[in-house]
Amino acid sequence: MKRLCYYVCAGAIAWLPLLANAQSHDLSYQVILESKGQYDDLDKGAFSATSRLYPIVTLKSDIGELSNSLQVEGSLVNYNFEKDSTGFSFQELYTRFSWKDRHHWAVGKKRLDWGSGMLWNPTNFYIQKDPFRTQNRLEGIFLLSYTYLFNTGSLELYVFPEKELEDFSYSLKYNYTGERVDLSLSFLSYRKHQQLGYDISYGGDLFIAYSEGVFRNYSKSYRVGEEGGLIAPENRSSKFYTEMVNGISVSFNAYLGARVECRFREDYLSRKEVNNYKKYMPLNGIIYDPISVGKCNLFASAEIKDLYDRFNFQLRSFFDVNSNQLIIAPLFVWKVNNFQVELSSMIFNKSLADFHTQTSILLSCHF
Amino acid sequence: MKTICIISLLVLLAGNMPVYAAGPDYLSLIDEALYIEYADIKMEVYKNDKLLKYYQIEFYRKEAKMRMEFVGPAVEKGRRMLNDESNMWMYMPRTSKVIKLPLKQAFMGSDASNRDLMRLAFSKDYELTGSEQQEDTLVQLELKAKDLSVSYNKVIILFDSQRGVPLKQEMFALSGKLIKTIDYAYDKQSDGTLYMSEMLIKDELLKNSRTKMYYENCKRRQEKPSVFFTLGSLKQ
Repeated sequence: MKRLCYYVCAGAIAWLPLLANAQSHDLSYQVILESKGQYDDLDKGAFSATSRLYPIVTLKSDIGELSNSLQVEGSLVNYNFEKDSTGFSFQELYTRFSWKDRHHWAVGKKRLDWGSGMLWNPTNFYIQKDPFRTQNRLEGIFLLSYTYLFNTGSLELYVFPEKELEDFSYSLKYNYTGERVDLSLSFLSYRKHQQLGYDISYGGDLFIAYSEGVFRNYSKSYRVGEEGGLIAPENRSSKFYTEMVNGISVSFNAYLGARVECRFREDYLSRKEVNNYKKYMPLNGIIYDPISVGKCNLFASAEIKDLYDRFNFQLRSFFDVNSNQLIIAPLFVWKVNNFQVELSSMIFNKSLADFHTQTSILLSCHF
Repeated sequence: MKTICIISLLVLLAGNMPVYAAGPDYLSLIDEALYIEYADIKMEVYKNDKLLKYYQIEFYRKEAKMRMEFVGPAVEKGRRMLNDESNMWMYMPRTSKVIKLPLKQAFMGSDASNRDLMRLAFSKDYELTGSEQQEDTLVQLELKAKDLSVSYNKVIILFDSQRGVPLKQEMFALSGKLIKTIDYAYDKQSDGTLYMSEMLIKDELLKNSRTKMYYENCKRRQEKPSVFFTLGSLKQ
């Protein structure tokens, strides 16, 4: 909170003189209300409700070739309609300065957009998406960034501050755009660890193919020993591990589409380690994301949609090769101008989670 | 030696001389008539004459590169699209993520494909195979795609040679079947220039479906730098 106040003050101090002298202003705002009801079969059935209100404000101004913007996205959340479970946080709060549309500086809490993978983005060190709802509004992270744009690509520099200087992370990213191809190379230094990443995608007339991967000398996951004991990530070997995602999305026609994505993570559990891990369930259940404990994960989805993009039905499936866990997750989305309804379900086979089915309905209103 | 020089000179001159016999360069005239670098666009999608959805878009263009910024409806606000001739991307404000799009995918539930709206120049994609004088100032032009990567194999355009603008466009598949038609309407703006004011796209395979696009505040030139039409700028 202290750090957030610091950024707000720094941003405001930088902003006020610019705003006072600006040649043009543009203020835009948006309010999004999301209500989600969820039922799972944990403890003979459990219902939970989450309501979120996102106020979003963007203020832009220009002085000659210098333009600046302030982006604020709040999140007011309430769980189960209980009075004392309401909280407020900033999803994004940052200031950006741009010079001649070519140089961009940003400071504050901002989302990172790395990676071409739809579900999984190994190059994005900070943000992990919910694979069951990739459209979630994600929370930003504190950063300072500089981006230089050139006609065939861009160069990005990032500093991710922490409380102590030695805990700062730094990153450098180069992006290139060629004929039908996008390529990114990234380097990240995180404490005593490093990560090298690549991201490449190819766009055809009716398909997109992509590959994204990293080589890193650290792990964020626990290792399961022979006796089922857990080895914490900080105590694991600092050898280089590979994580890679390959995928393809095809648009057959205006109604039908399909996507396949597969992920390999060298530092996750092998089949033998999964068996050891199961011995200690459910005690160690919180250690892993229940849909993907193994080294190899597959995702496939088929989509049928209305020609006018008013509704679509997706049949999604996740398969963890090492644990043999299969999840079928149908999703129905209905859109009418400012409203959107999402009905989704997850059915687990050989579940590693505490539940075997989960159903949710989400209503979004945009104003 | 003298003969060789004369023949060489004639060959060079012949190569550089305009071919008056072929008539006006219709494809360039069409490209010029439809070329705008900025417009506020309202797009409406109808089925059985009932409005199903609409988009409000700020449209920017620089030569073959185009960028669209969605300002309405509220659910689409902040979305951006960019086409740089061989790539197409969409920026999703919810996740601050850019996704790459297939070029021939339908444009966000409308009768147009991404390529129809982010269309490249006719003179680049097509060659004129025939022209027929219709009543008064109208000429019917027949165009053939230069290669199979172009969305429509054959296009017939009704061209108003007095105003120098296309009025109607019919697009055909390789099989010869009519797939889409586009009707254009024009309006004179305060500077006296004729700009496209309306475009009606009909999907001939779905008889009861049409997309209307209204153009306002059109400008032949805008001042955005070339870097505004790059993937890096789309994310900013």
